[in-house]
Amino acid sequence: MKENYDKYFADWMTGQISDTELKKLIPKDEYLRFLKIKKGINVLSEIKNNEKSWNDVRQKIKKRNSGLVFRVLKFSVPVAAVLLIFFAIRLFGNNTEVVITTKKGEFTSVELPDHSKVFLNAASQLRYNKKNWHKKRELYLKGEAFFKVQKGQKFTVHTGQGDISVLGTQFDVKQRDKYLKVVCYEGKVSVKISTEDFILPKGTGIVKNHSRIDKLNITTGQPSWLDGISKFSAVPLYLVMEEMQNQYDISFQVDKSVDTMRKFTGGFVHHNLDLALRNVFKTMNISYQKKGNIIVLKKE
Amino acid sequence: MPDKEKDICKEQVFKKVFDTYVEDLKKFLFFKFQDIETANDVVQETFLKLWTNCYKVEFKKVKSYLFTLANNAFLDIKKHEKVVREHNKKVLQPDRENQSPEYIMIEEEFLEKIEKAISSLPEKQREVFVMSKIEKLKYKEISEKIGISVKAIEKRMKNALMNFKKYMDEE
Repeated sequence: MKENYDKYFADWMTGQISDTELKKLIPKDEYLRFLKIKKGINVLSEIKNNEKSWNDVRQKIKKRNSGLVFRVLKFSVPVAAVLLIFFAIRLFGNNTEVVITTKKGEFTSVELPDHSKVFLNAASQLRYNKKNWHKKRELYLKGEAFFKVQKGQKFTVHTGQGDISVLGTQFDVKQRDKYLKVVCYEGKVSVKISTEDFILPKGTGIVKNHSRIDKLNITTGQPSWLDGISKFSAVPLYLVMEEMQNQYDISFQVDKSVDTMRKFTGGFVHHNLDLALRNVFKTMNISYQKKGNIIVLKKE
Repeated sequence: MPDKEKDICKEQVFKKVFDTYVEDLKKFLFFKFQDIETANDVVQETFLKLWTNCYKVEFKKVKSYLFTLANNAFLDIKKHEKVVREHNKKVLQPDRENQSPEYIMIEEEFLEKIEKAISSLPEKQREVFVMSKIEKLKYKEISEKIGISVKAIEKRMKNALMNFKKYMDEE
């Protein structure tokens, strides 16, 4: 008996017998079992078909972004600006969300709909919603930017490490990996890091490195990177190296003899790699060798 | 330190994350919904959310992020369905004539057994079975791909199905 059922199974699965014909040939519980197997095979087929799923996801992303996302990730669009810089924009369809990304060694300035200005440092990304700006001034930052905020509603910057809110002021936000530094140059800034709130009056800042939080006192009027120099005060070397990798198209190969936790005080220029390497490593007694894009570091 | 291979906002990395987790996510959601179409929709929405939040998600936490989103979507949908059902009970007249089609549940073990049944097939039969029933290719396309006649494919398919059914009926 069982073999007959198997034969019906094969004929039915290949479409030679219809459902109604099958129902007449086998008992009901066998029929339900057949249906279950067929459904299981179909489910497996859907689960395994990932090419289609990928295309569907891409479609959904494109629909939201009016078709520009993946293309733009591959090609940068050159834009003539005062500083002749390259940046990538993603425009999100009806939502008019704007995304501005800088590559290594680039920086750009953005004017927001309320004439607030943002200066975006290298290897950073800024996102905000153009259409909703008049309702809520908020944006998302990955990396480093200096803000000149017009007086008005609460202005909020979200980073992966904390949220910063201001009411018309000038401040700098630097976020890299587990590091967040906010400095207030004018006005007052409120910084929220997980559940803690900090108020920064003019001339002060705050640094969060992993779980450690330190307060800062600042004497200069604006961040040094805007002048083409990155300055550091007792900052672990690996963070300085990280910032160098953002400003120049290089990567580091570090010998075991080098202690990258050592504190560095000083700065490096953005316009000349050789000079920048000298600025940082000469004083630390670390020898450096250029092998194409790779800088090999060894203790002297 | 920032790592180029861990930036989910980069398409290649995002695709790699997709390829790694899409199948498990589909299975996870299918067994909850018992409906593959809804599961597929939620999977797409989940990856869409990952894309829009790519700058916020740590690469090493991406798996738990995806499954948390998926599970939350499942709970939201079920909550909504319950509300609709309660509303329908009050508003609509119960219709005894209207019977829903037989509901067939697919358990994890059952799906695993199907996969084992397919793997247990002799190579030539498995090839044809997979191309036809899993990849959904037509016999003509299969014939062009592996270079045998449609008649030969029909024969292999019949044997494959019979062996497959035999395995499914064991135990």
